[in-house]
Amino acid sequence: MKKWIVIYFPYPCVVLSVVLGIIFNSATISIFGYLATALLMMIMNEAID
Amino acid sequence: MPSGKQHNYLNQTMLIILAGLAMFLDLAPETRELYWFGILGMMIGINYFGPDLDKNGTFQDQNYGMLHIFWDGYAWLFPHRGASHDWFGIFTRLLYIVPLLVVIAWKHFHWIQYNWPKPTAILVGIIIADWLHVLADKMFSLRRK
Repeated sequence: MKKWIVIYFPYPCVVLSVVLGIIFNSATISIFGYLATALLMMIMNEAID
Repeated sequence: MPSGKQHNYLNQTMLIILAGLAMFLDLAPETRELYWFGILGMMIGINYFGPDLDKNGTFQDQNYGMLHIFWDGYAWLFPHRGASHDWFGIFTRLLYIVPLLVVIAWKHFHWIQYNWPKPTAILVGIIIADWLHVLADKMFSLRRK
């Protein structure tokens, strides 16, 4: 379960942040979307452990 | 040469592809973490460190908002599509922000000392994003010849 989340979860989130960044022409959305994903990953890793 | 928008789409597409590659690579957890730091570096490189900083009003220049005036000096030093659009162009931009990098390194010395692979991965990502831009320019020039 943990491995599955670690491998597959960040990808759609990163894609979403990049696409939203392009749509709204905002680098901030891309970067913050990415950082939010990283934060969520950290929280999920802690929760699963 | 491709326009700024085309460069942006091309680089963002490559970013998505490289990020997707992480799903298929059998990486150790530490390596996977570094890989994602590299992707973050690419994102920073595409949006904030592209070769087009040598021109006012470009995509990267606008991303700095009010701070874009900081890069006016760089645009003055490096004419558009000159040295900044070469393989070593990224290093001219890194040299331009050396004072800022020194302050960051000074403030976070201990963290960097023990976690140096992470900032290195970010740096590699920034360089890859920059080289993708240069590569697209070079390929376009070759095709036109």
